[in-house]
Formats: sequence, structure tokens, C-alpha cells
Amino acid sequence: MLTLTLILFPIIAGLLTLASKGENAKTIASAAAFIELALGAYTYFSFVPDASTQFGLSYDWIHAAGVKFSIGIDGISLILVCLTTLMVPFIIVSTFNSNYTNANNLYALILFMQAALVGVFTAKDGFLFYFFFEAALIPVYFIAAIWGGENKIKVTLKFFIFTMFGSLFMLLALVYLYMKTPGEIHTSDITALYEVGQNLNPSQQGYIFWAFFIAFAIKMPLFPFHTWQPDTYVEAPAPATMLLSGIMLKMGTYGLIRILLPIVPAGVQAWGLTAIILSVIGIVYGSIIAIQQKDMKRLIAYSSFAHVGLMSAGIFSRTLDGLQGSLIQMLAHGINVIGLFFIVEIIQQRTKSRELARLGGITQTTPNLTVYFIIIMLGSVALPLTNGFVGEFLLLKGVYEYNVWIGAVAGITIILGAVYMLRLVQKSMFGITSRITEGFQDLTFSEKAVLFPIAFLVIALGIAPNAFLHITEPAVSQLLTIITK
Amino acid sequence: MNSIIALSLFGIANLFLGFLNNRKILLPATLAFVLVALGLNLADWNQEYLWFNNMLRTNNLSVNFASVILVATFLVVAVSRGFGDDEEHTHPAEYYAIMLFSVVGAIMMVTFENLIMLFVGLEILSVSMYILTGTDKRNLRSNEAALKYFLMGAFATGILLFGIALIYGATGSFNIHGIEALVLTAAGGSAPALLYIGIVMVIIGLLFKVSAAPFHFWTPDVYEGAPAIFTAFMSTVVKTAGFAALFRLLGGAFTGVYGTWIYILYFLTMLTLIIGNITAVYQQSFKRMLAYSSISHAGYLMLTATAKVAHTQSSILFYSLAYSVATISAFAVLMVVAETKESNAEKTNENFDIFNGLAKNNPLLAFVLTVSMLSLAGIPLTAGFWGKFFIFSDAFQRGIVVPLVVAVLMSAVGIYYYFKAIISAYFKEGDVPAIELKPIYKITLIVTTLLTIVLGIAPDLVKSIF
Amino acid sequence: MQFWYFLTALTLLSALMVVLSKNPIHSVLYLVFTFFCISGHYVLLNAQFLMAVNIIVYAGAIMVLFLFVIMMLDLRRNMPDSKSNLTKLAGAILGGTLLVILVAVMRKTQFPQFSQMGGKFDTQTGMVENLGQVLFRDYLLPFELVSILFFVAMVGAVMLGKREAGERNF
Repeated sequence: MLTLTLILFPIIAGLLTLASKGENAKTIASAAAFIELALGAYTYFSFVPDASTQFGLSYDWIHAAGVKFSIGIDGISLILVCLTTLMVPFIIVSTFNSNYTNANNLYALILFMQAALVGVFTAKDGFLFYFFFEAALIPVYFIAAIWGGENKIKVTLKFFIFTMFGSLFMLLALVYLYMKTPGEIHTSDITALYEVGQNLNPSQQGYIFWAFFIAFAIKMPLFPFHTWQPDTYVEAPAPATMLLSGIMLKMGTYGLIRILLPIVPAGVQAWGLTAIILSVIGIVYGSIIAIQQKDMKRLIAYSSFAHVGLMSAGIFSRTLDGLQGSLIQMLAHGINVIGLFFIVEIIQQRTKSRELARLGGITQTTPNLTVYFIIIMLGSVALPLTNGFVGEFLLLKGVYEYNVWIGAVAGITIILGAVYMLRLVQKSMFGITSRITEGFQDLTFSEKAVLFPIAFLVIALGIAPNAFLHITEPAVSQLLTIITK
Repeated sequence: MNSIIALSLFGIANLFLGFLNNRKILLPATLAFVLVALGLNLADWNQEYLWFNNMLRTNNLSVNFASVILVATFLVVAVSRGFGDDEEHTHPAEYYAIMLFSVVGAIMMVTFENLIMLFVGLEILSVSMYILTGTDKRNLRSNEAALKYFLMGAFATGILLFGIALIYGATGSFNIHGIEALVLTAAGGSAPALLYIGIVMVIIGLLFKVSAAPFHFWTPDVYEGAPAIFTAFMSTVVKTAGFAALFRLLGGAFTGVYGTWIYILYFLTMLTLIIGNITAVYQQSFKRMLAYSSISHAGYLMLTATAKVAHTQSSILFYSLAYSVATISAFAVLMVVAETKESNAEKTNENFDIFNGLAKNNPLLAFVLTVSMLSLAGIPLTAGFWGKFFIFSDAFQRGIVVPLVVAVLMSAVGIYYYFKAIISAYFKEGDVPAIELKPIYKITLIVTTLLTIVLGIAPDLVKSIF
Repeated sequence: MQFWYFLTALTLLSALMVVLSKNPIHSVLYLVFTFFCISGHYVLLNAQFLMAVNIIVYAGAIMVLFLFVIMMLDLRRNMPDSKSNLTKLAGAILGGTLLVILVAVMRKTQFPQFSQMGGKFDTQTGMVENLGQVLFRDYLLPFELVSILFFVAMVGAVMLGKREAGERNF
């Protein structure tokens, strides 16, 4: 019931927001998001850290076809549910300083999006997963296309068709597996799909692997399926960018863990190396391009592309450390990237520019912003005692265990990451004040209200990563036994 | 059967109502007629009857199909608004009467047990459609469309009739169960060539009616030329009835020689999907796009009609329902927007840009349009998604891989052109004044949209009935 | 038997004249005559109903309509241009092919002999009484429903053909 509440509550709140006007919409939306956060926290604290699926629930959805509306939370789901419930309130608060027309629609769409995301992360039925996976696309498409920048129409349509195209292959693969489940009425329960998938012969698993892999790789995105990403991030308004990079791309990595690895272990065995190489190419390629970017938002977009490459490499290493690292990194990356995009948004609002060359010297008038920016930046660079460090360390260890050379190449990410992140901060914040950065206002209260918790989380997770690692560990170990069986 | 009799009488009653000077009564009367017919139709639920010396068979399958047709008719009539206020040039009584008569034909195509009934039903439906296409008498395009439709349709009917005659020659029976038995015994190799030629000709005749490639050339012109309300009627009722007939023949009478026609149909399915979707991408006119989209949906339906598995019929029914509801809402929005622009003396062309800026003053219309487009594109949360889903799983079960992959690729193409309408409505600058909707119109639009969403979330509500 | 040969020869001759006569009105009249001859064949087959229908529908209604159209359009004034050689060649090839096919079919087909049918042959099949029995007992429903078809066609014809008030009419 708790899980269902987590999904339904944002929908109801979203409908309420839709019906309300102006300031009321803000109040309702943020109140709802914080209540959802409280629900998330309650889930976190009442979760018993073992490998079982908790707060489960199952209704008949399409009776004749054996498709069930079955949801539940295990360790892997929980960390992502926490990410979603944690970040959405801040995304909503972060919009308070901007003037969006028809803001109630924006908040409603964000809340709908949240419901779909929680749905993805808790679905225990293959088709339900697909359903939410696609449903999450619709709100974010509208957010990006209604409130986006100049090229929004073309870019968002490209984004939508790209991701939809990828997921159609996933649908095919799911239907294929579903048809193979035993019984007169088939079932699409995820464990049944595991069973069916594992019993396929290796070449069949190979096809299924690619069908799923393309869907998730487009979503994350991995090299070479990333062409939609930078444009979309740049054109989308800040809340959509935060949703996309902070939470939605985790649908891809989550899908890898939840669907791809356990369903086609032999397929992963055969193609895992290819996937890791693609991921590592993405890391290096994304980092190098990020270094050369002139636009702040584009720079962060490419950094996100590099980070997600490392997560996927960790997942495909199929080691405990790699998987654990990718999970904690999903959380950390979500927090950091949302913080970074928010800071870009703040700078853009005040200076009307995101170009590094035109910025600089902001730090002279803004002690608060500087501190928060540097903390979040350090988290993103993965300095020890920040949240990024734990994830990146575990990920690199996992990849290193898988293959020393690939581990070594992936390790470059730390150096390159430091380069582009430091460049970002240095060019935008330090140096000589430019014409547009003169008299830069320091943070307002609502901005602090967003950045403070984010900075706090950056450090808190860096000091006590175990708060989440111990939750995911049993589930991950169990997953690994399934995979290596 | 009772609904056929009732609808025939109602059609005549409608013509007499036309003599009254009160035009306002026609719309509610027709709605009531359709509802009564729907009630009579549902009364046959869970009963299996053969009527008039094995001419018609009513069972749950036929009741379901007839219900989908009647619901679509009801919705179309509800958004017809009594055919406008242009008193001089419209004949609402005749329009409604012909619509009711055409439904008689459609129900015959659903319930037929004898190929003669199929032929007569198809003719009633087609002739009605030829007439309705040409009702916009002062519009050259409408005239052209009607003539084109009539000539090509007459050809197709001729082919169908020839096919029926050949099948009769080969089997000596018009009864589809009789044919089924004879085909099964003849399939051992002793079947005369007449049979195969006849079967292929009947299939061609029906494929023409459902506008499958390569017999689709009439569709864009006719859809574009006909008044939008009748295009909506045509693209839903004719298609559903055509597929019901096709399914009953392929799934029943012709199963014995499955091997002969199945590869032809696979090929035509792929051709239909590719032509429908790719050509739709290049359309500027919204109506023409919907015409090509209707071709592509015929392709999806063919995919499941060829995949004969236990629940094929429920997939076809669900898809037809989802498609009909979404199409009718799309046409309804188009009609009301085009009409408003016309009354403001603007030049209208029924292109995509007619919707530019729709969302600003008409959020409801924009939302209705969006949901219907999403449903047609098969995006989750809408009924269209489940329609596609059921069709894909049927095809998978049957192991039809190549057409299936084509279908999946083409449904990704579909997103592009359906989104063009959404993009116009929401993201493009334009000026559509706030449109005052009549209550019945508004209610119908809300109902169709809600139906699409509810079926998108809980498809089992309807799927379990079918 | 002699009468059959005579009738057939007459049919073929008048059919040829339809094609060969220069004057379209003569053509149509020959066509009417051809239909009468075919009806004669129906009589020989003991199918009187078909004979009557053939005369009423084809010779009576359709041909008279043709005649009207030809007279009204006055075809002689706008004779079509003589066809190009290519068209003639194409026509010859098509017609020739059809002839070959028909001849081949005739040679392959084995026409059933009266003796092969076991001597059982219902001479009354084509009579009006039997036809009525079938039509109003077995095929009552389609017969009745065809009336809807005609009714729709009639309503449509009246509706579309009616001259509307206003200026723009086609």
C-alpha cells in the first residue's frame, strides 16, 4: 500500500495543482512534494535491509493476459525511490524565482513525472515497467517543449522519437519473453521473465540483449546513442534538464540492473565487453568534449554523459563493487547534477548568459553561491569525503576487477573530470568581473533552501555512504548470484 | 438482427422527420435511434442465433463488433451538431438517414453467414459512403472525391462479386461454414484453381474497402474531399466493418487454405505499413495525414487478422475501438477549428497550421487533440498503446517476425507525424479565438478523451468483455 | 438443333455488326438485337424468367438509355481521332492473347454430356415458380435488404441531383 501511495499521491497532487492558480499552485505543489519526501523517508526507515521485496502489492491488470499491476520495493528500488522523492521537492522550489507562464501546468507535469518515475523504479511486472518507462516520457516532453528555448520543437521531437524508438525494441523483447513463459495464460512477472530469459540459448540471449541494451543506452545515453542529449539539455528549461539528467537517465541504468543483467546473463557474458568499451569511449569522449565547451549547460550535459558511461561500465563489470558503486553513484550524480544545473540557472537568470567567456568574477559579491558551487563541484569531481568519491571509487574498483586495462582508461575520468569541472568554476566564478556579472546578487532565501540541502547531502553521503550501501548490498548480492548461476 | 430491422425503420423515420420544420429534433432523435439499436444489439449477448435460413448469425463476436460500430456512429452523430446552421444547403434528415442505413450494411457485414449477405451489406455501406462523400455539393473536391470513390469502389465490388461467384463455383455453397468444410476437404490438393482465385479476389475486394495498400489510392483524395464529419464516419465504421468481415473469412471460411493467402497478406501488410506511414510524414494537410494514418492502421489490423490465435478477435475489437474513438475526437477538433476560422472569414485549408496556437485560448480542444494523437501514435497511458500491444503480442505468438519488425519501426515513424499536430497546438505561434462549444459537443469530446485515457490505464475494463 | 444454329449465327452476326457499323445508332440497335438473340438462347434453355429479365433490363432499360445518351451527345460531330499505330498494335496483342487463352480453355474444358449426368436433369429449374420459391424462401432476407440498397441509392440520387438555391452550382 505504501508503494501505491508513493505512486498515486503525486498524481492526485498534480491534478489538484492543475486545477489551482498562481501562488496556490506553488504552495500545493511544493507541499505535495515535501509530503512525498516524508513518505519516501518513511519508506527508507521502515525498510528492512535484506534482499526481499517489501511493501509489495499485486492486482490483476489485464486478467486474460496474465499481466499484473505488481509493485514493490527492494534495496535497488529503494535507493532510486529515495533519489526521486528527495530531489523533486528541490526541483520544484528551484523554479520559484523564475517566471513560467501557466506555472500550475509545469508543477503538475513535474508531479506526474515523479509518479511515473517512482512507478518505473518499483514495478515488478515487465509490462508495468515498460508502461511507466514510457509514461515518464510524456510529461518531460511537454515541459521541455512548452517552456524550452528557441530550438525546442525540433530538439524535443528528436528526443522523443529517439527514446520512443529505442523502447519499442524493449517492448518487442518483453513480448518475446512473455510469450515464452509457461502456462495457458502467460505471465509477465519479472521473476518469471528472468527464468525464461536465462533458459534461452546464447544466440537468442544475444538478440534480447541488444533489444534491451538499445532502449536503455538511448535513455542514459551511451555512446553512440547520445546525439539527442546535449541539445535537449540545453534547450530544455531548468526543471526539465534537472529531471532528465538527475532522475530520468537513471531509468536507463536502473533498467540495466533490473532487467538486462538478470534476464540475459549469457547475452551479457557475450556482449558485456562491447558494452563496456562503448561506455568507456563515452567516458573519454564526453570528458574531452566537455573540456572544450563554452556553454555552461552544454558542459554539464557532456559531463553527465561521461559520468553515466562510468556507471554503465560498472554495471557491466558484474562485480559487487561495480554494481554497488553504480547505485550509490546514481544517487550522488542525481544530487550533484541537479545542484549544478540549478547554479547555471541562477547565473543565467541574473546575467542572461551561460557563456563561460562572458562570465567571471561572480565570486566577489557572492560568498554563499561560491561556497555551494565549490562543494557541489567537488562532489562531482569525486573528492574524498564527498558523495561522488564513494561511487566513483567503487565503480573504478569494479571495472578494474573486470579488466585492468579498461579500468585504467576509465580512471582517466577522474583527471579529466577535475579538469573540466575546475575550468567551469574558475571561468565562471573567478577572474575579472565582466560587464554582465557586475553587481551580481547573492542567493535569495529560496535558492539557499535548495542549495543548502544539496550541499549537505554531498558531504553527508560522502561521510556516511553506508546509509545507502547497506540497503542495496543484500539485493545486489542476490542479483549477482542470479547472474552468475 | 433486431438492430438491422430497427435501424432500417429508423432511417425511414428520419426521412419523415425531415418534413417537420423543426430541424433541432433530428440530432436527439438520431442519437436515440442509435442508442435503441445498441440496446437491441446488446440484447443478443450470450445467445447464438441463426436467422432466416442461415443468412445471419448473431453471437458474442458479432454483438461486440456491432457495438463498436454503433458506439462509433453514436459519437460521430453527437459531434455532427445537426450539420451546422447553413439551412439552405444541407439536408440533415437525409444525412442522418443514410448514416443509419449504412450502419445496417455494416452490421450485415459483421453478422453475415452467407456470402450474399456480405455482398449486399458491403454494397449498402459503400453506396451510402459514395453519397455522403459527395454531400458538399458546392465543393469541387467533394464532387471529385465522390466520383473517384464510386468508380474505384464499384470496381472493387465487382472483383469481390466475381470472387464470390468463383468460390460458389468451386464449392457449390454460399454459406461460410459450408465453404469452410468444403475448403478443408478440398485443401488436400483436389481444390480447383477457381477456389484459390476466388479467395484472392474476395480478399482484394475487402482490402480495398479497408484501404490497404496497394488498393489505397482512393483513400487520401476521398478523405480530403469528403466533409470532415463523414470522413470521421468513413474511417471508423467502414474500417471496423471491413475488418470484421475480413477476420470472419480469414479466421473461418478460408482457414483450410491458410498457406495460399498468408504470404500474400504478409507482404501486403508490410507494404501497407510502409506506404501509410512514410507517406503520412510528408503530408501538409491534417486530413490527408489522417487518411494515410488510417492506411497505416489498416496495416496494424491486418497484422493481427493474419495472426490467427485464440484472442485475435478481442485484439481487433480493442484496436478498432481505440482507433475509432481517437479518430473521431481528432476530426471533431478539426471540424470545430476549421469552422471557426471560416466564420471569421479566414482562409482555411485544413493543414496542420490550422491548429497553431490552439492551446492558448482553447485548452480543452488542445488537450483532446493531444490525447487523440498520442493514442493514434500508440504512446502508453492511452488506449492506442494497448491496441498496439495486443496486436504485437498476437503477431509474436504466431511467430510473424518480419512484418512485426516492420510494424514496430513504422510505429516509431508514426510518432513524428502525429506529434506535428501536438506541436502546432502547443508550441507554435498562432491565433485561434476562444471557441464556444455546444454542451453536447463538449461532453462528447470529454467522454472520448476520458475513454481513451481510462482504457489506457485499465484496458481490462473492455478487453475482458471482448 | 437447326434452330439453335440459326440463332447462334444470328447472334454472332449482329454482335459483329455492333463493332463494324460506322453509325453509333446502328451499333446500338444491333446490340439490342443481340440481346434479343441471347434471350432466345435462354428460351431454348427453358429459362423463361432470365429471358424476360434480360430483355427488360438490357434491351429495355440500359440500351434505351444508351440510345438517349448517344442522341443527345451527337457523337458524329466529335469523332475521336484515329488511333496511333502503337495503340493499334497494343490492342491487337491484347485481343490476340485473349483469343489464344479462350481457345486454349475451350480445348481443355470437358463439357459435361447429358448422359454423364445420370440422365437426371430438372427441366423446371429456370421456371419462374422455382425461382420464386428459392428467392422468397431461402433468400428472403437478402431480397428484402436489397430494397434498402435501392432506397439509399434513390435518396442519394435525389439529394445529390436536386438543384440548390444559391449561385454556385455545378
